[in-house]
Formats: sequence, structure tokens, C-alpha cells
Amino acid sequence: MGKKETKGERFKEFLAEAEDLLNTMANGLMALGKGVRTGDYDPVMLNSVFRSAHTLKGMSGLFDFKGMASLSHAMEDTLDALRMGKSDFNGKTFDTLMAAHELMGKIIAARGDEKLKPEIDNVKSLLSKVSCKRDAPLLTGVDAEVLKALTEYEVHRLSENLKAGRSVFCINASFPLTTFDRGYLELTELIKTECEIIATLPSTRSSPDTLFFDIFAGTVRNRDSLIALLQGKASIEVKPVAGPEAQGAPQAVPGAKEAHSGFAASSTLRRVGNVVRVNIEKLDRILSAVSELGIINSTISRLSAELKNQSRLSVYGIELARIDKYLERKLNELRNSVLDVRMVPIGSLFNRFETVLNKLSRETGKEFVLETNGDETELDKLIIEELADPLMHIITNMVDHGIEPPEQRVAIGKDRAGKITLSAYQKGNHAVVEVRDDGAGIDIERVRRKAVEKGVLKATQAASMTAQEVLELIFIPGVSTKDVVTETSGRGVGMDVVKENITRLSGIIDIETVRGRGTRFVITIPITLAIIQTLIIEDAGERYAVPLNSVIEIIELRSPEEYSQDTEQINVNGRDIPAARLSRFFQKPGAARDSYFGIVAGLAEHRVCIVVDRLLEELDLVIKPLPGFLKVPGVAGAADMGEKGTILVLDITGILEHAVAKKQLARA
Amino acid sequence: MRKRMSEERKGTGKVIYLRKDGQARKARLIQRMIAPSENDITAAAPSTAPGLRLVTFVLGDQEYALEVAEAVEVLKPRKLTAVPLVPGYIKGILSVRGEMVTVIDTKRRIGAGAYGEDDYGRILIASTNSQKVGFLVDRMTGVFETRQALTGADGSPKNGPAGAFIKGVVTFNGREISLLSIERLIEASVKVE
Repeated sequence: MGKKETKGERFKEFLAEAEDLLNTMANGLMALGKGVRTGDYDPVMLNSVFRSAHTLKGMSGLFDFKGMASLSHAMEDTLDALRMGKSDFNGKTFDTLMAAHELMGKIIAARGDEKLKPEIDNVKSLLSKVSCKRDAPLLTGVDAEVLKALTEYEVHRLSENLKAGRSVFCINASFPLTTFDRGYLELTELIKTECEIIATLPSTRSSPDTLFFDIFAGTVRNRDSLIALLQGKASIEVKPVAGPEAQGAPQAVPGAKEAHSGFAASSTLRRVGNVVRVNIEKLDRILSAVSELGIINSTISRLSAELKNQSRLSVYGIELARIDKYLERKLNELRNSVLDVRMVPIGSLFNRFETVLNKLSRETGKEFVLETNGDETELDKLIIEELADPLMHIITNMVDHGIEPPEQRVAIGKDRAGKITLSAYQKGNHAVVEVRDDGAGIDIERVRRKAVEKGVLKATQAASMTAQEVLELIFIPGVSTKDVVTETSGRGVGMDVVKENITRLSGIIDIETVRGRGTRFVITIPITLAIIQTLIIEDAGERYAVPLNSVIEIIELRSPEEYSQDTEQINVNGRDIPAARLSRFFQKPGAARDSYFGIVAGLAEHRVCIVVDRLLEELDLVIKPLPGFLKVPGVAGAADMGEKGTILVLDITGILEHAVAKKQLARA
Repeated sequence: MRKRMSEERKGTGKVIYLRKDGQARKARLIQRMIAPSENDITAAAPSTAPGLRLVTFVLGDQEYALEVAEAVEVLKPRKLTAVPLVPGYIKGILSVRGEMVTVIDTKRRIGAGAYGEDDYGRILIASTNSQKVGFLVDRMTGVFETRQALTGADGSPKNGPAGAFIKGVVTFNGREISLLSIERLIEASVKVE
């Protein structure tokens, strides 16, 4: 999946979802149709159709399908009137609903709604009419297909022309793209000399270099004279639509029909989106199998190494090793493609905040602009979903505490509207997601004061903390800087949830703030948790898996010069970092050794050195959460290694935070 | 499924899969699982009105039970992975077909001693609130159905130290069987009296 394709991918996803909704809607409508003659219907079915229309409206709004959104909105209104008993359920209503549904199908099939605007407007007006019990105007002899394509006003003009005894023609004209504006103008000016132009519809036959239009014109002339008039102007075709000239021509508007031939797909059962929607659990199962295959693979490689050492069998050993290498490559391919399937561009999440901010803007009276960067950055679907809540909390907090009211902003020379920027980028095996505002920033002294007031820490402790450490306090439940509790935030819940969710994702969150300039939250999270490369280590007789995505380097430590049980800091490349013997962290007895291995791990700017007895091997594992009621600090989950049993996977973030907290405690 | 069962009857299989349908079927399966080697089985006569179906097991010198509806499967001893920083009665975790299951040293939990590395006989996997838990037991004794009312309800002193975990006691063929509550067994705040 190329990165450039992601916008398209997201769009495809939308199409697939819209199709599903339309399908549900069709089923509902069919069920409703059975009750048309008696005028009664199943309210459950009606509600189901209503819900589909409602969801579709929301989704279309997100993808800027304005026509679709307004159409589903109109449909929703009509259905609502029915639900509320404000209008009768009759054949006309039903037909209109069906027409609306059909048109939605066309929009999806055409992957856009610009070209269908007139048709949408027409169906919308029909929908509004049925919901207020008024009959739509009847036009005899005009193909419903054409009526559907016209706006109310255009239909009105069409009927006026027919009433006056004029003929209505459909003129198909095509122009090369480069000169179409001139050609089109010339042609319409010419037509206007003899006819009234009722409507001009762009045709879907348009290709990248040629544009086609269907021009509906009412005139007293007959077809031949009209053709004579327009001869040579552009490549045109003239077809009668209604009125005297169309008499005896049963297929009144081949032109219009043709114009819509591009939508033929909507009437077939074939789907436009080549998208398969899969429950992520199924992918998890595939990944589990892949991971187990990886373990088998490592067993084979061990066997081949043993064979190679036995002189009589070394030939087989070499051959087996070669095949095993090939197997490994293919397994990697398989694993990567399964992982790729789970990856979703983060833009799909970012976009959701546009509506959230609109809502917050209405509630708070503040104004916002949302800017997003790196929408195409891909993350595991599950991680994206897990990020939704934390981002939501951060944004509501920014809106509530960070961004100043418009007047105040103007007074200090900022833009009226507060800017919230969401950006994402990939950094190795991690993704960095940033939320930034250009508001007032966090008042560090105030947080310090608040934390003491709330009894979170003692005044002496608070006074000795650095600004960065004070900032971390906002993640503690109960510490909130705003004194007033508002609709949206201020209750001191939220930021602790943010921390908790990010930690659960093995991620880390950092804050930077500048008074008067704004605040920045930087979240560093793994791209996927589904299958991870791990290093199997042993400490105090137990094996653990260390996720390699946060390992920076591994150093050997000789005892006792470089490491003893009591060493709490190790100098790595000139930087002192907290160190912790794993068994000690887990409060288990660990024997002193001649040498240890230090696993230097880190996220964002934070580092910790985890000291262990031995390094065993590297394995790709599928990490599973621990059973619900087991909460173990420093353990992210467990993995099944097939015949080798179950292994605990370390939570680097957890250990790191523990180390940082300990350091703070020691100083206070 | 069928193949596995026949294996089990021959005593070679390790695991029996239980289907979600039908308590009676499940009871039969569990019984089959236990019966051949530990022929202590005395199933109640089938009746039309279902009473309380229990799966029974032994811990030390006492017989206990869980409801059949809660039981998922019975496993032979296998390697458990110890978990640090948890209460001592949590023996470790185990992967049961991809799902991580906490295994509880049932004896230690109810204050009736403790198991060592491998001196337990079976792991009874049960589920509550869609969460699976494994319980170490000495041996499984059977499955039976009773319509007796539970006596000696919650925390009655005669249940001894395990009282806090016992929903009630039934008598079957002269044996006194205590029905355990999974919820209380896994709730850390519930302690041995």
C-alpha cells in the first residue's frame, strides 16, 4: 500500500461503508414497500432506514460529499415526518424514498456528487414535498429520468414550455477540454437566439480531454431546423425530449439515458469498492499463526545448525539452513502483508475532530481552526481507535483551558480563531502524534499551587520540582488548573485517562508549554502492537520478552566494576541513565553474577537501562493482553510461544516511568 | 471435535473442547473426561426439570464444586508462567488457545495449604463474565445434578477458613460438597477468614 494512495484508500473505505449502509437501507425500504398499499408499515424498519440515512449524512459530511450529505439529510427529514406521523405513507412517498436511495447509489457509483447536483436538488425537493403532503408537478411525456435530473425551477420551465406547445430537445454537445469555455459560450449564445435553455447538465461521458454537455432547450422549431442552426458549431446531436417533436418517439430521451449510462453500475449487483471489510479479530488469528510459524522457523534453524556440526550430516544441515532462510523470508513477507492490512492512515481519526471542534465552538463561544499534518501516517487500526479518547481529552482541555476567548486573542495580537494543530509522523518503529495549540500555555506555578492545595504533594516537594516535573502533575487525577467546572472539562478527570491510555499502548506522552504561546503534547507510540520483534532474555531464572522497538542498544556490564545490585545509574555514552535489575524491579531474588547485560531502552527523550542475566534469542511474537484482573507494573502482556510455553512481555514504558518516579522521590 | 473426543476416551488426548450448546451435553462431556480414570462417578438420574448441575473436584481432603455452566474445560498439568508482583495465590498464566488465562492455586486461595510446582492433578478452566480463569485441583470427581437447596450459606462458620468463597453446601451420596464462587475467588479483596 503506497503512502501516496492513502487518501484514496480512505475514500475507498468510505465508499465501502456507504455501500453497506445503502444495502441496509435497501432491505429496510423493501420491507416498507410491502405495506405501501395498506398504508401501514413496520416502525422498526422505518427506524432502521432512518438510522442508515442519518449515519450516511454524518459520513458524507466528513468526506465533503455535500450533495450526498444534503440528500441524506432531506431523506432523514422525510423519514422523520413519517415516523412522527406528520405525513402519510403512500405510494408516492415510497417511490420518492426509493428514488433518493437509487440516487445515492449513483453518487457512490460515480464516486462524486458534483455532476449529479441537479438530480440531487430535484430529489431533495421531491422529498420535501412528500413530507408536507403536496403533490409534485406532473409532466406528461417527459421521461422520469430527465425530471430527476432537473431542479424544481427547471422542471417548472420545462412544463411551461410544453404548455406553450413548444418542443423540448436534448442537445448533446462535446468540446475539447482546452477550448470548451469558448466553444460552450458560442453554442449556448447561438441556441439562445432561437430557444430557451431550460437546463445544462454536464454529462458523465466526459473524458480527461473532452467534455460533454446535455443542453435541454425549448423551442418552436423542429429538429431539422435546429440541427441546421447549430450545424458546424460543435460536435452535437439533437434529440427530442417532449412536446410535438417527441410524439411517436417512444424512447423520448436516448440522450439523457446515455448521459447516465456511466451510472449503470448502480443497477447491477456489482459493487464499486474493491474493499473487503474484515473483523480485526480474524487478522489477529492469522497473525497468531504467523507468529507460531516464526517459532517453528527458529526451531528449524537451530536444528539445521546442529546438523551442520555433525560431519556425516552437514550436507543436509546446509541444505536445511538454506531452505529455512527462504522460509524465513517468506514468513516476513506474510507477516508484513498482514500487518499492512491492519494499517490505517491517521487522517481518518484527525478528521473526526473537525466536527468535535465545531461543536465545542458553539458551546464555548471560542473560535477554532484545525490544521492537520501527516494525515497519511499509518498506524494499526486498534491503536488509532485507542488514540481517539486521549486526543479528544487533550483537545477539550486545550479548548477549555488553553485557547483564549476571541476578544482577548485579538487584544494580544493573535488571530481571533485559536489554532489547533494535529500532526503525525513516523519515527522508526514508532509514530509521533503531536497536538499543539496557540493558546495561553500552562501556568506552571498555578499547577504547583493546585497540586499542593489538593494534597497531591507536600509544599516542600512541590518547591523542589523542575518545571517539567510540575507539568507531569497534570496527569495526576484531581489536579486541574481551572477552578470552574464546565460542560467540557475542569473536573480534573481526563488527563489521567490520557496518560493511562497512552501507557496501555506502550507509548509515552510529553508536554511542552510556553506562556502566552501555547502548549504541545507529543505522544510517541508503537505503530503496531499486533506482532512485535522481541528479544528473549533471562533474569533470575525466568524468561521475558523485551519489545525491540524501544531498545536503543545493549551493553555488557562486568560486575562489580560496572554494575552491582545497588547501582541505580549507569553512564551510557556520557549520559547518566537510571538502571534497574529486572529481578529487583519484580521484587524477586536475583543472584550476583560476573557479568550482566544492560538493555538501554527509551521512548522519545526518556531512557532506562534494564539489567538482566542473559540474552537468549530474537523472536517475533504476537502480544496478548494479560487476563483482565491482572495488573502488573512492568508487564505489557504475554505471548504464546507454542511448545516453548507462555512468556511475559515487558512494558518498557512502565519500567521507565517507575525509574523516573523513583528518581523524583529520591530528590524530594 | 469427534476425533478429539475419541482420543480422549483412549486416554491419549490432552484437551477436550466443549461446545457451548446444551448443559446436558457439556455435563456428559466433562463426565467422560473424568470418568474412565477416576470412576467415582454417580450421575443423577436424568430429569426433565433442570436443577443445579455441578462439576465436582477435590482439594486436599475436601470436595468442592463449580456450576457446570461456569466450567469450560479440564486440562492436564502443563507449564505455567509465573507472574511477578501479584498475590501469592496466583500461580501464573497459561495460554488456552490464544487466550491468556490466570491460573489460581485454589488450595492456597481458600487457605487449605498450597500446591508445589507439579503436584496438582488437573487445571479446571472456568469462566465468569466472559473471563476465563484456571483453578488447580487435585482431581476431578464428577458431574451431578441436584435439586437440593444449598445449605450453610455464605460465610457460615462451619465452612471453615474457606467460608468466604463458598456459596453453599449440598450433600450427595453422603458426600458433603461445597459450591465455590468464582467471582469471590478472583476478587483480590476477599480474604481467607
